[in-house]
Amino acid sequence: MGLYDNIILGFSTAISPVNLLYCFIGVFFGTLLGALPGIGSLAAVSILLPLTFSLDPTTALVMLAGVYYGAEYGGSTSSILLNLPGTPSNAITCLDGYPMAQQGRAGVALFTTTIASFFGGSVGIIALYTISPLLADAAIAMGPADYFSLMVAGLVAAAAVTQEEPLKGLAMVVFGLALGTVGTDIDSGVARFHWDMLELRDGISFIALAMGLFGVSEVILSLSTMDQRNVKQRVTLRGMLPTRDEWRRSVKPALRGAGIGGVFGALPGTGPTIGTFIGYTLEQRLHKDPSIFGKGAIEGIVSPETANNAAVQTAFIPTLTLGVPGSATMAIMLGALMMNGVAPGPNLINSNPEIFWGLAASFWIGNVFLLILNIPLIGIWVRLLQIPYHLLYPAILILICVGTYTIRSNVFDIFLVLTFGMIGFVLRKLRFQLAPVLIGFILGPMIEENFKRAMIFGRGDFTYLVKQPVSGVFLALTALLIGWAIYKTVRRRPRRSEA
Amino acid sequence: MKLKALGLTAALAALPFGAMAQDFPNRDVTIVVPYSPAGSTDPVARFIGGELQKMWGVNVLIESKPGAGATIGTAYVATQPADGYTVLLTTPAYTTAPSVYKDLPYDPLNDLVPVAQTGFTQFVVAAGPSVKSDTLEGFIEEAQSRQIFMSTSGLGSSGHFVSELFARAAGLPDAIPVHYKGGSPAQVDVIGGRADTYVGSVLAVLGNVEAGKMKPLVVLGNTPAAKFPDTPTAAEAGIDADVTFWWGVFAPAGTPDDIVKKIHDDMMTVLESDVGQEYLASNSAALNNLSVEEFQDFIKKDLEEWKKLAEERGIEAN
Repeated sequence: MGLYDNIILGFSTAISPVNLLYCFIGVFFGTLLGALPGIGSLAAVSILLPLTFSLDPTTALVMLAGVYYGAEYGGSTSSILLNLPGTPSNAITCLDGYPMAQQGRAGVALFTTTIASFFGGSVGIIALYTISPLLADAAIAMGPADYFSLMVAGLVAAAAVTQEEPLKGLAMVVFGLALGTVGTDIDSGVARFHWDMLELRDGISFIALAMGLFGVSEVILSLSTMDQRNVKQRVTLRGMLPTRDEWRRSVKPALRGAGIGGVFGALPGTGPTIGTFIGYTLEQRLHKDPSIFGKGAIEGIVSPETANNAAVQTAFIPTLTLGVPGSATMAIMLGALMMNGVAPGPNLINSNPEIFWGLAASFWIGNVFLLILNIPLIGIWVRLLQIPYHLLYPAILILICVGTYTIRSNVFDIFLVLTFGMIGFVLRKLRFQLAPVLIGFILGPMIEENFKRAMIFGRGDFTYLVKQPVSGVFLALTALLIGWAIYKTVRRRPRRSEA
Repeated sequence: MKLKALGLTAALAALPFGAMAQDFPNRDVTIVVPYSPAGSTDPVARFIGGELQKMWGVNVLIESKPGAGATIGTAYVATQPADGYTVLLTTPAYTTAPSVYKDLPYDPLNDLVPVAQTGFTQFVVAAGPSVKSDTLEGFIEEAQSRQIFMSTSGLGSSGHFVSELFARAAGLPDAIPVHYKGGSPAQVDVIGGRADTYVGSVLAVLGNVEAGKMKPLVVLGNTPAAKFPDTPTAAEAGIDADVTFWWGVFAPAGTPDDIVKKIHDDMMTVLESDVGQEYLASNSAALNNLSVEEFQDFIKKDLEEWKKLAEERGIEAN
């Protein structure tokens, strides 16, 4: 079958009234739940999963997928309005989205992220349609050594998210790496730093960490400052539109963001968060005036949001074509398929073409729904800011606890999220950046795990890492990246001392 | 006064006649699954729960308590009231975990009581493109002269234990396990030609076998797998690896025998019915129809055997 036939098959499946209806239900509840701080895509999908048990596999997946990308779409709303990421992958959007809202430009920020998300999602879907089989082969060809080197490159690239104080940023990356070592070592089975708690054997929950550091700490911070930061915002359609200059400045970040997000999303195991960090860092590095970032730069929200939503779509490639879920949310999708007797794997495209192509088509329809749904909603979201904080924040705290608990019905995770809230509060008071913690936390365990596996396959020979062609290329890139960073620093330093 | 009344109520509730088989169940029953809803165990619990709900006329709730190789959910059920209203539906992880986790907060022999085996499916040993031969004999021969990498779904998982069991039974001189977080990433390195074998349930390897990316070498145990008619069973191939993947229900120790028996009998009724048989078949599974006593013996024997294997092959954690 050619691409054309696939598109026809896909859309004819996706626009059946039942699938359209469930697609709408999915994106509607997804964007709603995602916009609530503390309820991320994983919690949203977990909450709505039981609704799909009676549906046929395609419809069930259409709806769950809608919830998933709907939640990722909606997650930026609270990042911008409240400085509280709706999902971990929206954390970086806080950096420039929230300052924009404080400047009275919340409408513009929300409008821009909606368009950026739609663009990113569309690029991801095109990738899903055209290069799925190719990417599936590439993913099979990549071994532990290649993943190790890629992750090292990612860590080096992302370690520079901090703007002013690189040492503090580095400290936070190391803190993240340290947190990542908690739990049972995959290779030896040794449980590390578990303090005799069964719950820590699987390591620290990523959601609890992210929601604690970014969500709970923000609530504590605003309680301790007690300032009324409410900015009266009047939102008219015209007030939502970015300036001509901002449109122009958004084009390149959107393209790069979609590319980065698309690539990282398609790699099994990375999830969308990494892409958003790398997209943001890259924009900051490439910009002629990096100091505008963190103060409401439009590039700072366009890049991570396109990356996030492109990644969300391409994350389906390994899930559907390899049966390897890229994230916990994807694992639930996979479960929903297997529950219906559909075996995901290299054969899925051939054995159940209507599921694969139907799903891909429904993604695009869902993205259009989101666009239509979100633009009129912006005015309503902005009004959230008028809710007095003494009512809003307790509600947010409850939502965060509920969202964290839902994921594995364990009270332990609620204590964990609150603990990380305190830690996050202290770190923010000391003016540490929190984003690098997440980077270290995600990449550290993957680097270690793949390194150990590579060493087993390479029979303990370190040169195995360089001899694998893909791995070798990534390592060379890493070396170049480090060289470039050193060069830049050396060159910039004299200028700084003059100032 | 208030405290006394409370104590009295608690004492009454704890009395055995508060939970007699003839009026069991008269309120909601919870089946705890120690895996995430994404796993292959959750749907089994949902199917049985749904059918029991129709039979009993009370709600049967499925609660997912995943983590730490199924030990979090198991530990939770071990501490629940022994009245049959909270039961556990788990997998061979129940019998393998004690051999790797030295400090389990429960005793698998004395803190829970086996109730029913609700189905089984075969383990299949599948090989990737790095293995030249398509047959078990060819593979064993190949393995005499080189190192074999067995990819597993995790250290201490049932797949790991069964891989070690297979290596011992087939007489592989140098087979070492490589561990992954779950069965699907483990299979990627096999189909990519970096690891040699993966052992998983029929349904777990079906996708890759059908796509021609992996070849089934042997079906463990002595029951042929309908999906792999041309693959010999371990019994046919003459290797001693009589082991299956199963789902089983456990209740907190001290649950009255008549309630254990009622849950067992009603679950068997569900699984022996046409819908039950059809459901099992769609999972490439079947029913052994063990009595409560037979299942209890099975568990005891399994616990001992895995412990022996773990000592022999040096499987340990902590």
